[in-house]
Amino acid sequence: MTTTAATTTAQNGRVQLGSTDANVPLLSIEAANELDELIEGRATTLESVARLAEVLKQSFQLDPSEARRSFVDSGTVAVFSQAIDESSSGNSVSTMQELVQQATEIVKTLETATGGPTQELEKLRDFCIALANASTAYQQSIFEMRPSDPLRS
Amino acid sequence: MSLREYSVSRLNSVLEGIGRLKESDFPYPHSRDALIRLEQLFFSHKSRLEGLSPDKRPAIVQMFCSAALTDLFKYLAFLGFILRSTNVRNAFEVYGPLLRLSQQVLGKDTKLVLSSEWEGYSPFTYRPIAELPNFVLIGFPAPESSNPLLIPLAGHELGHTIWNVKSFATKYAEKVEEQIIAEIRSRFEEYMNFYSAHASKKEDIVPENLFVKRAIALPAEWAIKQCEEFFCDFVGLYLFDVAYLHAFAYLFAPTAGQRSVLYPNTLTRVEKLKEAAARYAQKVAGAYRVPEDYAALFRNKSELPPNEEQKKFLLSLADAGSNGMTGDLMSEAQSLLSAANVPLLSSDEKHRILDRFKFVVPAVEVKSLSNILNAAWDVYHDPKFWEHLPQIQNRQRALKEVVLKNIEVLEIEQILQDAP
Repeated sequence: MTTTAATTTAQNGRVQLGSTDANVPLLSIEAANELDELIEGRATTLESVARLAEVLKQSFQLDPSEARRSFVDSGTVAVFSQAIDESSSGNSVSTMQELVQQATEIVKTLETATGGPTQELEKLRDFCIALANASTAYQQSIFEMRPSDPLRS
Repeated sequence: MSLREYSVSRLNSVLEGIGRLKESDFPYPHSRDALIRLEQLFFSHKSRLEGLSPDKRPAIVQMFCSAALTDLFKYLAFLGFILRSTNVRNAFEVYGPLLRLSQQVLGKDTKLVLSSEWEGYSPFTYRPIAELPNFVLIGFPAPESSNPLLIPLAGHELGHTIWNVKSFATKYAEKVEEQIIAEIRSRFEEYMNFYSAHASKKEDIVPENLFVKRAIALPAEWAIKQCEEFFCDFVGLYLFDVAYLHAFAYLFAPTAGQRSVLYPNTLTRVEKLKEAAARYAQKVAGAYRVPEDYAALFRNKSELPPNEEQKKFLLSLADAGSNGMTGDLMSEAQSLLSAANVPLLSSDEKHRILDRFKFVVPAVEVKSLSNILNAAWDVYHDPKFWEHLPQIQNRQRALKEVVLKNIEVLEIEQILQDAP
């Protein structure tokens, strides 16, 4: 039995794509794997897919039940736009509005993944892999800029 | 061998290692609790890999293997930290009072691991650990791990856990980005030297500009980390008064090494501590008196090399973002700790303790760690304090012993007070 990637949600009820203390990379891989299982016709839960959709909604303030706020943190923008750039499924984006629109569409596709056509699921899976890569790279870029230990190569 | 087999083998090794660590004689249960959480983490990685179908796409297998390996890198040092929490060099006397303080601020389910550190000469901090959200992790540099005068720095470490549990990074992100965007506008020409395609005029520097937003992601994140450090300093100061300043200077003055982008530079930290002390002193007469020439003890760490102009520019944006938040952060620490009703330094209590220390005797009913530690620093700075006791050959050793004894007395009294 495996467990869904731990994120800070467990601790504070909210996690964002750019959070360096959240395990977005692992959550994205798990989601990619669940979609892959679905494509292959094997039985799977879509727990991580649903969780990733939730993280995206929180990151882009897409939940209609909440008062709409325009703030999307720059870490989320950096990670998501890099994933879109690198994912074959995504169109390139040049405005914040386009980026939010892309996020809305991806959330919708994640939420309806069970009944989606194979080609769409494959795109979504590839996007999740790109998202895992982008969030890993982003987190490393922040922490690898600490000064190195002078006694270690 | 396949990639998956290598990964599972590595995970088996670390799980065996954790199994052996669990057999250690832990003085307090929270170290073992942390080990069990990490054991579950690595077991989950192993289960995921073993549960993948044999024909799983290589890209997905690789990423699961990479995630497991990343956690091995991330947590190996932490496993050593947990192991060292069993070492008798640690000042176990302080565990109870520090746990009590942590739980008073963060709730009864807060856990504490007190250990020592060989990796760096500073109280050890870990990147936030999602698996251990309510753990306060305190590790003093090993040569100083039994030095009770440095306990105030544990207030800083408690600050990190508060910061994460209260999600302050999320709370302050928007304001930090506003500060950074305002800074870019005020230095538009400089920004254009590095990012000429992002805007054609100053008015294009707005949060809705996707290119600007991507460019400020790193400095915004650095600024948030710097804000966290400021906040932790303010927590340490609020809790332990000038004892925090003395402990900070003891360990960090004048400076060492190259500056990290995740920390404010040293002189800025000191300046903000002085500002916070002035602010907190308004509420408590006679408290938070910064020693004269305190700032003169410090120097800045060396800045980034000159050939890293772009990084230096981004770091200056981060500095602007975090410096603009310090007033809010001082208030945040004050209101949060005040609401938790944490005990503050009492000048009368401190002097009562000093009267006991004169005879190298611990005081009773001292009410708080802060009272003991501030008295301890007064003794430390007074070379004539034990002039009447020529048999004391080593003042610092005698001081450490009486302070640890007094902390034990405090803990015993607290246990008796809490007893049904």
